Amino acid sequence: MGDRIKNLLDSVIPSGPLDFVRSDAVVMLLVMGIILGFISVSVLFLIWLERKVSARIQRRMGPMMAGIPWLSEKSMWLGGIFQTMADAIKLLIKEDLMPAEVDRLVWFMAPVLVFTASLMTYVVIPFGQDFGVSDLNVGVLYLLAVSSMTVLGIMMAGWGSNNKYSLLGGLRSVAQMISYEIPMIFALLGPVLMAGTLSLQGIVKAQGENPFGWFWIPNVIGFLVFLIAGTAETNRPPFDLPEAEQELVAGFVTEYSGMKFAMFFLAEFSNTFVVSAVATTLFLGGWQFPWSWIGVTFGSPVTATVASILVFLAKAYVIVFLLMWIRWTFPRLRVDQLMHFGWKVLLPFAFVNLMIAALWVLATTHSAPAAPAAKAMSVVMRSLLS
Amino acid sequence: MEVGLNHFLTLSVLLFAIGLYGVLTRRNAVAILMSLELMFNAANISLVAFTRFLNLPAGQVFALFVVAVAGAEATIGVAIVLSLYRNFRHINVEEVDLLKW
Amino acid sequence: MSAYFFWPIAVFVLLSAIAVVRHPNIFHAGLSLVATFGGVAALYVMLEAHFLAAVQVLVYVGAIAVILMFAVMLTQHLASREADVPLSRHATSFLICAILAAFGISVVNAQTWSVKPFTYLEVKQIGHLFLDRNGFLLPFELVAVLLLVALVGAVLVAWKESD
Repeated sequence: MGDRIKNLLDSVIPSGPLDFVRSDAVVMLLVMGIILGFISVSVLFLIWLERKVSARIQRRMGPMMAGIPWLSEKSMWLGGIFQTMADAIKLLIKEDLMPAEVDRLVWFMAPVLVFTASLMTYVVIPFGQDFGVSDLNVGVLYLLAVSSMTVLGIMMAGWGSNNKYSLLGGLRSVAQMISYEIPMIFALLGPVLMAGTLSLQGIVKAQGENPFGWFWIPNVIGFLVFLIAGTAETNRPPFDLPEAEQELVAGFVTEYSGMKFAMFFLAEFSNTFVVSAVATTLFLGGWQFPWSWIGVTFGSPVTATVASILVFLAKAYVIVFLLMWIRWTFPRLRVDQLMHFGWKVLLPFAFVNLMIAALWVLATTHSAPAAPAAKAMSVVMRSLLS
Repeated sequence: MEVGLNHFLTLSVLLFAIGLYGVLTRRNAVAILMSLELMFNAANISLVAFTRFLNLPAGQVFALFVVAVAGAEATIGVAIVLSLYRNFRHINVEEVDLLKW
Repeated sequence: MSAYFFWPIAVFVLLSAIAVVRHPNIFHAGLSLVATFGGVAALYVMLEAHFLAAVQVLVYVGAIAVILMFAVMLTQHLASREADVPLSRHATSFLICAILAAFGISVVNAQTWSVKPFTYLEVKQIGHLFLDRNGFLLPFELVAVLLLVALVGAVLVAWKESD
């Protein structure tokens, strides 16, 4: 995205006194502004979507009053569109409390760390064809590394609150998150193996246009494992025991109110979008769409990029809707059921998926190693697939 | 001023010395484990600096092994600390002297 | 290699390391350790070892620091401070470490290093080195065995006999 903005600025701004506008620093600030703007709008939309979807699943209507006056109570979907903004303003104007006995620096930095970790993951997401903030050549690993910073933030919140409920909630949440990181990593390894690169744009490009060539077919098990592990990673129901209202007062967010609570809340929704975006990138072909099947060709690269961005967002929001659907359908897991499920069910399935992906790669690449067993296996698989 | 191999190696030696100071001085068992991790990181910095400046791929590979071994060692260390806490109700290494005469 | 990045990061790493070894509150010492790990990851990015930088954050910050903080949380109270150590011990330790550091720095600077131009090490090449018989295959398999032993051993050592 940076070089496109640079080209745009080069063509628009004449050289002269406004030369500093074309400098790298301004380009970086503009990219940051665009991405932060997208995140804000996206998170607000997601919170509204969550409330409407949960309402419809429970056969009620959701927020209806906070919206355009003559439209409320007439249309169900357009009734409460400003509800999220009203909630955000309410949280912003709440009194900023800091309990007296907390460990000040630790308690203060915890929501900052959690939200920062969530924001940092947007850097590598491939929003469209040649459109993303940056394409790191170790993109997948960067995503995992940054989301493990969330674990640290939650631990700081649990400990710094000087409250036994917070501590228990924090410890349980950390145990859950580090347990489910491992099946998530193994589920991610399948597409990485098949694409041969850790870069997310590279993985999308390796999937091609054909929907049956996307990585969800050989990695079906891995796709499911990734979605389940991603739900657990973001502390969403049915894995939300650490922050459930009926259980531990409010878990590790007990002592937080106002904007600090909003940081945790926004980070959870932001992470939900990131998990969905990564799932579409790795398993559903990212911004790819079989345009040639419906005979559409693009005149300029700009329209191709815009179309790819729309395709990516559509796919990501479908997965988000799926995660919300799961949230409001299943009951909460108890903490021992949670740990049992993560270690003894998901992890073996993730291993099986990795083996299947490896066999697939062996069978479909012609530069497979020439060991006799590998040759025999590749012959068998090729005959099965043809 | 050009930053060369000497700068990174000096940093590595200083970090190692600071870690050693922590291991010698601290009483809390977990604090000793933390200082030990500093020493591991110091060794890793020098390994990666050698890869970069002397073009030896073995440096980065060896650094990955060091990371894995450090992880294993921290895990066992914490298990021992927890076992210690369960038996003595504190983790002050100065006072764990049952086998002394 | 830009000196603008190196000096601030190096100073940051050294200061947080000193905070790790000197801070009386052990939870804050743990957080300083996390800061040190982050600074070292930044150094790896400077040294063009991007894979290792990501692994550093993933393993050290995401796993090792977490497990050390777990140990702190299970064995300490919130505001507990470590008992003071006599000044003579501080002095002798500082002296030993200062002599070691001086010796190390003088040895390092006395060498003439044959610096070569760097060809970027791709992740694929690291993978090939791990699986190469003339490379690092044996250490790779041994580390796998070591991790298994560590896993089983940690569970056994920390096993609580249910009464």
